[in-house]
Amino acid sequence: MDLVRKIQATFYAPSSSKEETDDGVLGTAVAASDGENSRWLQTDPNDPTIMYNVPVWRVQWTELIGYQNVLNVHVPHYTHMFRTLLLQHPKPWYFGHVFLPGGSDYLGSPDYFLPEQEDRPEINFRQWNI
Amino acid sequence: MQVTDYIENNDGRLTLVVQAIDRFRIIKARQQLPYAIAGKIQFIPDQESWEQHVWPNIVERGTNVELSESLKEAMQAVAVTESEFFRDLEYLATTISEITQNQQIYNNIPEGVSPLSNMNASVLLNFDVVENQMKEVVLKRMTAKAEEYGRDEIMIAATAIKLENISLPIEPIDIWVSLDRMLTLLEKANPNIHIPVPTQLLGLLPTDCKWPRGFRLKCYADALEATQSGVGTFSKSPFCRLSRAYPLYPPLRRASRLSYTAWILPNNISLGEHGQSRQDLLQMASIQKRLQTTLKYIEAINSVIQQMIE
Repeated sequence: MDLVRKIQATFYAPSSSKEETDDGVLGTAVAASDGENSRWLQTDPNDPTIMYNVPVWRVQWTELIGYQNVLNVHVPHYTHMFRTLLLQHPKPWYFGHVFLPGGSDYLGSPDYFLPEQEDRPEINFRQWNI
Repeated sequence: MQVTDYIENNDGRLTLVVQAIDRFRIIKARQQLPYAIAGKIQFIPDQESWEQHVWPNIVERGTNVELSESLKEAMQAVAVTESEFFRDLEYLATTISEITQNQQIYNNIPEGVSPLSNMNASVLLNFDVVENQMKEVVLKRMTAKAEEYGRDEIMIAATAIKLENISLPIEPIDIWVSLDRMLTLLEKANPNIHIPVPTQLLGLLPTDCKWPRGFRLKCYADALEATQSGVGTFSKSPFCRLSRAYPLYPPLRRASRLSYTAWILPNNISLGEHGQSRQDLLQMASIQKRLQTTLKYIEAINSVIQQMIE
């Protein structure tokens, strides 16, 4: 187990540049196409309502503000996501909890993809989250 | 949401303690698979939480200022900043060791955590500092985009940000009274059961209200306060009676928290097609609307139980 932990520590070591993030290593992520830095949870110095690059946990239930929970994360893509968050980024460790009808079964369905284009879309049930 | 603590299990699983803290809207995706990353999100403060800073001032000045979109956005920025300042107070960070002390652990998975986050009674928060920081946020934003604002708007912003301006859209006392009645009716319907009331909910009970005779929630909260005992089913943390720990805590923030936490009791009682989903509630941007919906739902439950008893 010690060996596994050492490998994980190397793999998830915080990187100092955009090119060295885990996304680049794995080659699974779509690179930020608009020049935004790929580090997660970046704030906008001129607008506190905006945050960039927020990892999203999409599940079939909704949490309400003021509630808390214990999550048992076991599927590979989400353990990778949370390890990246926890081991490569400083506190506070924020992530989005987004209601997805049907849960992980529909993660790959284009019908439920997050909006690709930037605009101020009309509010619908998939865009209100905590 | 925020992760407050975690453990890495030997089989690769992660166990996380998480707290839901704010609402947001996804503006644009950066990645869809294998997991989603939102390239840009916008926090959505409660409508009243940003309007409150503007309307009293306008009414006081007697002006006919039509608010521009820019001013609305500036006030939303203030409301989001306010939430950030109150975060440590409003969310006591729960740790894995806390929740594993008092419960069975199966396969390294803790049985659970109290479903409501506790408030933190030991945060030193200077409300004057918060107010000044909020003013700085709005003035910085307006100065950077001065051409978008009218002179009246800048005057409003310069004087509007005051925490004591905050007033309630509706009186949440009715919700407390209805919850208390629900407990009474449930115990009347089944005298053998005791309905536990979450202490995190009781901590929100105001101390300066005149409650009706026989109102039991106040007795529960007073008793918890007197014993100063640790509270919580799965974890123990100090009981925080908000009004006592922070007498200047904005009533509007308390109303907002109540509009969600009050659902902890009726949430397990289904009213069939009249049921309200959590997602419906989350989509309501107005505290007043959430409180009204909550009250309506609790009263509907009370009415059903009353009929059962009769």
